[in-house]
Amino acid sequence: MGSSANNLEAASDRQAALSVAPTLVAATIETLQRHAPFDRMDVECLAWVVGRLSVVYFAPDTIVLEPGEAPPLYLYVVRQGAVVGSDPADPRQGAFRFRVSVGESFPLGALLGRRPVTSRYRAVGDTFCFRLAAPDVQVLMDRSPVFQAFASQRLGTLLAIARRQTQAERTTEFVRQPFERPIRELLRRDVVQCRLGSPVREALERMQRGRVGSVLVTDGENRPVGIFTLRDLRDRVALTGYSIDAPIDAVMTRDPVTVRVDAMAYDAALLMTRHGFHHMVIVDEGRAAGVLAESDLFALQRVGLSALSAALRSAATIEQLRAASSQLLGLGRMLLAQGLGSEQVARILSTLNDRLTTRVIEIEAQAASVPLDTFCWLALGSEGRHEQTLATDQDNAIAFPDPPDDDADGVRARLLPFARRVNEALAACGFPLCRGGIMASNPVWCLSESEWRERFSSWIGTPDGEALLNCTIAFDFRPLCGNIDAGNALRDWLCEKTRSRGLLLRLMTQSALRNEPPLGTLRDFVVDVHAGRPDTIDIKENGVVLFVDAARILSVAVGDGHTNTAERLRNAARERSLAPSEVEGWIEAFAFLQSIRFTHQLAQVEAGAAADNFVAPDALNTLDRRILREALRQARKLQERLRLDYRL
Amino acid sequence: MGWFDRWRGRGKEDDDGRLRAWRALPRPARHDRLDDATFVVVDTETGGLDPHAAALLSVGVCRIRHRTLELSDTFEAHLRQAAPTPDDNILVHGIGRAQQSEGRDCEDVLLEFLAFAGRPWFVGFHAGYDATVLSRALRTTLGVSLDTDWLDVAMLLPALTADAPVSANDLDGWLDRCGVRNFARHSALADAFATAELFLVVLARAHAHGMRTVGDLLALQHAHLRRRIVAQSTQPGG
Repeated sequence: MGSSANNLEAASDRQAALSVAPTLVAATIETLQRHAPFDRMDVECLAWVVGRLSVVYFAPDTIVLEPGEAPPLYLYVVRQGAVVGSDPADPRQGAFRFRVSVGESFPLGALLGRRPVTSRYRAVGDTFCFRLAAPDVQVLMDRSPVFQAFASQRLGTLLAIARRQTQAERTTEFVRQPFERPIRELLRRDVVQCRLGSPVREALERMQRGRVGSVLVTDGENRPVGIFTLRDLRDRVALTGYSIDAPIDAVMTRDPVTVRVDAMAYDAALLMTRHGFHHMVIVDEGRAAGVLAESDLFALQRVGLSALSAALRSAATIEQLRAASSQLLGLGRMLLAQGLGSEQVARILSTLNDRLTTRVIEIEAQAASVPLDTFCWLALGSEGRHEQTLATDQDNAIAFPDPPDDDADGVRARLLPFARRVNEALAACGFPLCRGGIMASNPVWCLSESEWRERFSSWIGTPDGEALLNCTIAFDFRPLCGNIDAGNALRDWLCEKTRSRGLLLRLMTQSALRNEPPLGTLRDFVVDVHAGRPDTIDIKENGVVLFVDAARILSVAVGDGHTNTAERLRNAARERSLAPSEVEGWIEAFAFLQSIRFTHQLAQVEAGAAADNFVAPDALNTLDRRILREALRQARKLQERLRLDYRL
Repeated sequence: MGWFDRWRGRGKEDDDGRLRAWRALPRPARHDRLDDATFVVVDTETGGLDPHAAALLSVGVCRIRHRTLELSDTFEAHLRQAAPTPDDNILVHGIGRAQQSEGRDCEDVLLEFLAFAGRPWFVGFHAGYDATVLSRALRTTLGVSLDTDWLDVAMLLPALTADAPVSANDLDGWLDRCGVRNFARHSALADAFATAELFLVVLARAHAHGMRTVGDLLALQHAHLRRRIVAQSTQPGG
């Protein structure tokens, strides 16, 4: 069947055959036009498509496509009947994933990504499909902007759906985690209690000693008979003038609702919500075991953004900053759990990091008597791009205004010790020192404005390997604090200088394209390139960086001064009128890689390990794995665009 | 198919050469495998109901190979009539007087048909009718005989459908049953195309029944024909 000789023969036949009968063309166009994206294609393009279509039939329950090693050969459009996609790993009927109905196409993602399908496609009922060969689909992508937009939008939607789903999973995991644990695990303190008949004063003393807001009142056999809370103190004692030396019996709440210690936290939360209680008495075999406060259940959610921000702002010592910075991790996790995209989370963390860094600099500048307007602190690398995750080394530099006496070395000598202290303080706050020495305390990265211009000029003029590497770090600089104007002036100068620098851009592109997405031809991912890290991919180097590098090139080319990858892509798209759907696809893919990286690092840090970037695709769930492939394919598309731009 | 290209390259006057080339083509064989045999599905529109007398008005042809029907691999032609067919029949085939007189020369169309078709297995719906009409036209115009069995979807489909009555054999009924939409009923190409789609169903079902060669299908067709004759002869007034 289908030997290549036969295919050749069929192809030459098709060439030789007379053109499609006009009635058949018209009728087929009319059929296609009832459905997207054909409804928006022009007739000429539709006629081109029709001339290349075949009709095939699938009996009920036959398999149309199966995940395998080879990418699909055809795009199918259901003409009659329907096709359902299911999880091939799951033999159950319930493994149903989606349904392709009349007029809908499949498997678009696999075709455009030139990868095998991930679902099993099965016909339901007598099913006729139009079929378009893969090479024709590629041509159609180029020929029809409508089809191209449709295809990229579909991929974009897929990424968006996946992200929503990931957030939903993370949210439920987060909410579920404390609530699905037995209450026993949440009871940390010994129960604060007093006997029936004790004076109110005794109860208050015990509450104060135990630093709790409630006390359990028990009978002689340690059975709970009442509960007394600070609220009761206010309502029934202080406001009524009841003597605190009188017995507690009259002011306590009798017969408190109790929950067994082996019940789930969720049960307690439900009762609290239902009855409006803030405390719940926990019993073990009828005996008092403790009191569960509302705050015990909702503790995690009280990490406040504004509180943390204020704490950073008002910190007076490095020690206080260090304490506040330790909360950043919990905050990041919480924000992700609440459904914020990784781009936004990175932004918020980056803002807080900025605040922390600024405060460190202010404190150290004051200590070293260095006036803030004598230097501009530059954030480089991921910090410069607002894209920090957890395992981020410091990358920073200083630009200072040209001294009137031309004595840059003198200024540098004054600034370096101060910069050293800032670098060390940042290290204490959880930002490891840069192993490559790209820090403000390194004389090479602490330069006057004209020294910077000289430096950039030499990199741009002779863009050898090292210069290109320096460009990737330095081009992402962002003035953070101090003499911001000096930093901005440098940025403006650089934009002018690099704009339309053909050779530099070409070399930057060449170097960026050397880093290929780790997509395999036979397997999904190329995972064995990292010595000592079997079955993983470096999600930063071989994923995130692909987008970062490409965005930098696009942005330098159009003279855009922004440093954030998503912003750079959007601006370049506007400048060069790239299809917005295509660009959003790249941004979605980039955000997804960042979120995978974030989640991976959070898990590591929480397990007490050091955060790294080695993600094992097999450890991801099916959906994430699928999206990861899609995201890397988007990286390939972006690289293709650059390859075309610079004819590489 | 090199012979076709050679043919196209020749002058129009060398019709005998073309026919020789066609005759030299290998005939289809009963042991041809269903998966890679070539099937040419034919529908004819005629100016009457008697296949031995009615004029051939138009012919629609599609090809199936590897269980695939390519839209570009189709052929349709209207034939010029010396005298238009009776008006009552125009209501059926929808080919009006003007169109009949504007049609193409019968000899050209038939030569082109042979060039397009080659020597495949021919398929039709109530194939006997189309086979008779076409064979008569080919014999009288070009002196050519197709000289082959035709596969009849009107017999094969009921034979391969468990719950179908033996007599179920009208095209519209089967199109309906298999969910095939005919884009222009009683246009030769549309009917040929719809028949071809039904033949795709036949091929799939035959495969599911373990049939592998065209001979298997022919055997089934003959068996079904016998069953139908028996059924009709035992039915009162059949």
